[in-house]
Amino acid sequence: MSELFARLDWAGILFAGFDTLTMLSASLLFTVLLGLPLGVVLFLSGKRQLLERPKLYGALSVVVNVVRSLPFIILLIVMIPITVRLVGTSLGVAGSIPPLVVATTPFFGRLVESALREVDRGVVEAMLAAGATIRQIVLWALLPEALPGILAAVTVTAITLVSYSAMSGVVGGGGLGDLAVRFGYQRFRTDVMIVTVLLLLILVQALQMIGDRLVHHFSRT
Amino acid sequence: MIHLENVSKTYRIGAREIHAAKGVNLHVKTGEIFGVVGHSGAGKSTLVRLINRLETADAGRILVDGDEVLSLDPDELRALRRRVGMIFQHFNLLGSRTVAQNVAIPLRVAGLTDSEQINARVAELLDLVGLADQRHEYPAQLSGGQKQRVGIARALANRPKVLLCDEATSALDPQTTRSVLELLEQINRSLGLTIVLITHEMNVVRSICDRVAVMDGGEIVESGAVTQVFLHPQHPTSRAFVNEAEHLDELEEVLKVANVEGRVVRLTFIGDDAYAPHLAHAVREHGLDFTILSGHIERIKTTPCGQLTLALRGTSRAQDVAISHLKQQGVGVEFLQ
Ligand SMILES: Nc1ncnc2c1ncn2[C@@H]1O[C@H](COP(=O)(O)OP(=O)(O)OP(=O)(O)O)[C@@H](O)[C@H]1O
Ligand SMILES: [Mg+2]
Repeated sequence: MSELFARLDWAGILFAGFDTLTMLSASLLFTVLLGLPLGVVLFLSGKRQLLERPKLYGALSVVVNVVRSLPFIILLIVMIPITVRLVGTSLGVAGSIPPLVVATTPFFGRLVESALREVDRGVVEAMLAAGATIRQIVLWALLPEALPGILAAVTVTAITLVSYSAMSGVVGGGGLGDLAVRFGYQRFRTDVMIVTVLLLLILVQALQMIGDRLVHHFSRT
Repeated sequence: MIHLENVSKTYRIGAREIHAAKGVNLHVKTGEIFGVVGHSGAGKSTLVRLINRLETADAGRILVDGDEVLSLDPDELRALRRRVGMIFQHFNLLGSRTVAQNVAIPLRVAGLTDSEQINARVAELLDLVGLADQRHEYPAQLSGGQKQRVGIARALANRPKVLLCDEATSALDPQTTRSVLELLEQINRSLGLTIVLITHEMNVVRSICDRVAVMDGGEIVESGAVTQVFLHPQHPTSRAFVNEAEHLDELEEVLKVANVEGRVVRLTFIGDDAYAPHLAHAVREHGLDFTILSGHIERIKTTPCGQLTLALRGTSRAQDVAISHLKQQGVGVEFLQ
């Protein structure tokens, strides 16, 4: 057993783990920043909602569905020119963040939209009756009421990002996925493979646990 | 305070048209408690939602506190809504916010930012509805009656002139219903608030309303003082509601079973007359003879009233004299048979 792991480059693994965490947190941050407004707009413009706009909703839906139906690996390659323009490279941690954000934002936006739909219409009605503006309704009623659902959406998205970021290793994205592909797979280093897979598993477990805790904490029913 | 003229609202679901309000005329006076009663689907909720334009009327004219509701721009509409509070059957509180935060929302909506001012007003409101001790609790921890009290406090936050209540007690048990109605009546008296109260229970109307409109199929089929509509309902729908509330359905049964012959008369006493010995007098002075088929004495809001259904006996001459005497005393007389 100890023989199997004797040749491991622990420092390299540590750095790769660190890269994965960086990719994850940066992509998650941008995904939430972009996806939350997207979800709100999708919700508000939807059928029988406050700002019903069938054309806007239809257009956004098409874009969202197109991106979501594209396999991530294809998106990664298609996006290379845009990625280079945005962050100067398509490689490494920086190069993998734009495609990760583009891949998960529509997904997260949809989840936010359905979390908002779960909010009791009566609550919106009470806000309208009190003379609230749409902005006030969104900020003071809809988002706080939907918070548990949104946190669950963030959790699912974070886990999706872990698996996507491992995939981006294939095109030199860096991180644990990159390590697993280059050493574990291409150079038959079973030890590297086992350790990276274990670390990814622990990461996913940890994210799910933290997410569940937060959802529970903010559920008031 | 509230004036509806020929107001109509039609919903379209595909090709089907639902006339939820058909040429409705309504006049609610300042400071009164106005009831709207009707069966499910009669258009009561639609009517009350037209008043603060949660639904927009297709035709007609709506005046609320001097504002032409249908021609307000969005800013003016929001300003009006702050002067018109609303409470709901299912309370519609924010589950993610405490009692105090729920009550504070309309204050923040109205542009109040000073947290000391907000807290002071919230404390005042929670005192009014008797929930000072629950201010840090979440709605899920409250009983139905307490939730509705939070709803009332929230609706009153911006000192509205009108309070709209859509089935505010329908989700509550009878005892809690009574305490919420008492609170509404107290608010009506102490703040001079005009209240429009929608319900399908005639007993709610009887206990606190001054006037009532009966709705059926999107139309107001009868309206007037509660005593009037209660004691002399004209429209079949009104009669059905009153009978339900008074358990009068049995009267016809009684007539059949008792095998009554001769005249059957219903006497109605309103106000202090309900307690005056008119009938005893008629017996003593005019030799009236009768058997009682049904009767009850109750209060409509604060007015005592009584109704007695009698099968008359004795000579028709004695009956006529006694009846005309009762009429002179202001007793309502109706011949049922
Ligand atoms: N948004 C809507 N779209 C379509 N039809 C509606 C809508 N709201 C109400 N209706 C219809 O209008 C009619 C009147 O509804 P309304 O809710 O005003 O009745 P109600 O008297 O309040 O009934 P309830 O006692 O059940 O609350 C009903 O037939 C209802 O189905
Ligand atoms: Mg209703």
